[in-house]
Amino acid sequence: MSAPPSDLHAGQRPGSLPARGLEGRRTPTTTPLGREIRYTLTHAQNYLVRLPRAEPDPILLLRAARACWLVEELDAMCVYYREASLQLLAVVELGGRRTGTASEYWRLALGALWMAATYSELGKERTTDQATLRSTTYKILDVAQRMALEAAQPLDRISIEMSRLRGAWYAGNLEVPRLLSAMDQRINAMDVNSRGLWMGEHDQLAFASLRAVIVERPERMAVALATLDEHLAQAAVRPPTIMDLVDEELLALEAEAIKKGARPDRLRLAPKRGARRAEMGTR
Amino acid sequence: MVASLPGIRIGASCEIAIESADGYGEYKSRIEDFQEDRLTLAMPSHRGTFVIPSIGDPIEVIVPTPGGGTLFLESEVTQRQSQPLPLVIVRVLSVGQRQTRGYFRILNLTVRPTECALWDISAGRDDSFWRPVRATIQDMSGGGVGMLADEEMSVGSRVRVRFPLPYGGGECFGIGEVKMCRPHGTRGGGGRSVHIERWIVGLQMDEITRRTRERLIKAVHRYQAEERRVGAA
Repeated sequence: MSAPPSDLHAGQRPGSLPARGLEGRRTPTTTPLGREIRYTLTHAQNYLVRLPRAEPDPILLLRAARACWLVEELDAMCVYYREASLQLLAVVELGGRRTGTASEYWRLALGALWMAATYSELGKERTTDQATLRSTTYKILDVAQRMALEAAQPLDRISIEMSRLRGAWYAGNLEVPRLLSAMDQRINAMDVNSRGLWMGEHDQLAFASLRAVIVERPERMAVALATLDEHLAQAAVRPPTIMDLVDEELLALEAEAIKKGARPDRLRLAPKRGARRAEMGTR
Repeated sequence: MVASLPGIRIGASCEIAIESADGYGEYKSRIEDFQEDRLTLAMPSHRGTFVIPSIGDPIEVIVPTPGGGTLFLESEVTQRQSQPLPLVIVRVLSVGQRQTRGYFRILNLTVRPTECALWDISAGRDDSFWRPVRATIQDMSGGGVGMLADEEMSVGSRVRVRFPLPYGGGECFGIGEVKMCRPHGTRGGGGRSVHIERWIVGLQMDEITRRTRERLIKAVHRYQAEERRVGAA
């Protein structure tokens, strides 16, 4: 979508931030992404040390977790994902429900919990993460059901229904087929304007991918996943940011598709762990 | 006090707002001349009679700009003359500006962006990268967003932002240019008084797809409809 910013000016950094004089900034790194990863990880580490006194910053934690995935630091990644999911759920309670943005934060929180539950160390830790994922999805299912009843805007209602479907799918809930058909009914009942805004957007493509992974044959899953990946890649800037390079939901869908025997193409937003380690350069 | 008056043109029409014992009034006038912070204006009139302000009276000169905005010049009357032309000379104390907006703006939002990163070239262009910045979106329009950021962003810098649109509609993403950045104040935190400055940042989103802008405008409409519905209930 975007060309590299051409008329750039110096961004100033405040003195109040602990990560101001990062050693990493002086280390020659190869790419802007490498410098961003280094900055993010140092900054997030300082932030974690200041918790719980520091103000919530779920997006920094999510960014750090994604950076960890890109450089294959799985232990740290799980720590960041766990904390990010907690803070994202708090964002929903504080403002997401009031402004009708809950479903986006739920999507990120569920993706973060799935990553933690899938890639944490085997044993007690993973069991706890999986239990957290299940309990969170049930909570989301419950809250979203009430919110969907109150929602007046068709797009708001459909995004909340989508959150319910996501939650049920992540938890392996038996309600998934029923929620799928409920989504279909909602989509068919949408007015033309709302449908125009919904079609071709993230939720619609994610729904198509979910449906493919749940009900379709393995050979048809790859197409849906590739379309979703293409859509996500279009939102990326040049040079890409960490947030442009990883999508937890796509990783989860890809993992499920592979488990069911599909062979999806290489997805840009679902990179292999450690895929960008080389961008960090050498110290 | 101001040292120069950019955007002022001799011969331009203006309005003079005078608050007097008789009440507040706005009168048509014209800029006859200006030098440094002094402005010479045609004496305002009302129904054929000159409205003569007193020396030292505070007045406000309202000048429309070619771009469609308005300049507000807080001034005081320093001199008057009746011959050969009735004129009033004022000293401009401060200048305010109201810009035109192409889009309706919704206020009182609290949306946490899912990404906010500043293109940081403080260490040189060779070491530039997208630096994450903690911010909250406070207002939104089809042209851009207003944010409350934890860090100062210099005017003209590029910011990558991505945030969920209110009441469905997915995410909005794009790159914008910082048009305004001013300190917001101080806040407490962590149980003791920690004063950290925050910055109000106005971001004009110029690298955004047409479809995304359309969705942004539609989201503003949805938000207005929802506000009205909740208000009516």
